[in-house]
Amino acid sequence: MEPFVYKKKKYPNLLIGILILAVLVVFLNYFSNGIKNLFYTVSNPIQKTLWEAGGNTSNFVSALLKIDDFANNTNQIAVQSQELLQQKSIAQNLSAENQILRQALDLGLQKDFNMVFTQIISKDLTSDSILVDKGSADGISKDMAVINQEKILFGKVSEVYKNFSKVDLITDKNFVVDAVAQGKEVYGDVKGNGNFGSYFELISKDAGLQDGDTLLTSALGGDFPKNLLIGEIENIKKEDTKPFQSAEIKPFFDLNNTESLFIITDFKKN
Amino acid sequence: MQYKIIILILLFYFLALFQNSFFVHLNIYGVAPDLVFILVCLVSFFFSQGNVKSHKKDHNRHTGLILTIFAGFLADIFSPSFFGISIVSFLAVYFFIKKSVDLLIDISGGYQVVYFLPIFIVSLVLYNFLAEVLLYFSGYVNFYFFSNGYFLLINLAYNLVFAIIGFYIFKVAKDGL
Repeated sequence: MEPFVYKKKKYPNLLIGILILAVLVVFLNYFSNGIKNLFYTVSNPIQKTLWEAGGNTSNFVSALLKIDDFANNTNQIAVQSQELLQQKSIAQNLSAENQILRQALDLGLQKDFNMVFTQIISKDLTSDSILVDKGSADGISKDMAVINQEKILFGKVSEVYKNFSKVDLITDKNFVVDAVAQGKEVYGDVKGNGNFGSYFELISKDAGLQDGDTLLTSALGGDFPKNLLIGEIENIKKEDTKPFQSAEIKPFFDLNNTESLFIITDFKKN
Repeated sequence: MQYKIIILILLFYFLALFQNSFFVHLNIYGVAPDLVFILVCLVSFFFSQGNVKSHKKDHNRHTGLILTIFAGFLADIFSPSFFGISIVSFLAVYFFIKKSVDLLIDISGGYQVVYFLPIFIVSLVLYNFLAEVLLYFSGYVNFYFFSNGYFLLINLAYNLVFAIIGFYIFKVAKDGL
């Protein structure tokens, strides 16, 4: 027969541990905005440097991968060179036109919107959202649209701290905006699908949507200025069982080559 | 021991900055390595009871726990959700790894990557599952990890590469300190 040995139960320790953890979590959430703002402020200079370095590294790696593709496609390029020569003169004319349009667009930005310039600091791993270095102290509030200098829509402000803001990208699952296909009266909703993917939905079945169509924000919702660039239609899905058609979108925004953005604080609603 | 904790806390901090500002650019189909999670797994593995000499057990038990809570705090800072989701998920991973190491590994066998990798894979699935369930019930609808099969595979593969590299670096560094 084994002698009786008193074993100290672990449950009190476990309960104390859970209690301490619960108090810690409540404390952190109560002061959440202050804690996050303080942390971002301290880390801001390092994160800006890392963001820039990350973008450069990504471009370098992409360039290396493209060198390989380039070598494989040498023969095709030789065949296409004649065509390219013909297109050169057309491209020169277009380039001049583009320059003028760009200037006009820049002027339009100033004319149509009140904006705050901001820089990207980091991106969240678990969702398609980024952190930017302007917050409530700079007049930023929730749901403001975020664009770049080319009027490409990146997303909207989802959370505001004193000096920083979280921006849900248009590919985030929480993101929805009313959109229209450029040059067509085809309306629908653009929704984020996560992982840098988004789709265009609630489109009438008889709408003449095509791959390559450009999507712009519409003024229907009223939350966003109209005519902001969203992306390009690709892979249209029509199913007999569904009342609407939908399509995947190739977003125009490119995080790797972007360091600064504009937050639209006010715009003309007409 | 205290300077080890300080070094690891600083390491957690810089890895959090690196993964959210640098490695997000090097994503594969939107997947970037979760360096903070990898370090949590390494700390949990190497600081588990079965993996250290007996006179250091108490120290290491608390070290692993404190570092895991700190890592969860860091992950929650960069997360759009509430504080606590990553802390709880990381703690679940910590206790899972601790229990696994206690059950599976003989101290005399040393630190072997063959033990670590299956534990790491299960931990990654466990962590993402818990985090997503908690996110879902907190009102965030970001179901990434289990919504796409390819995403799951890329996530596992990409993190596994960094976990293997991290394993050997951590092993050498731990022996050296």
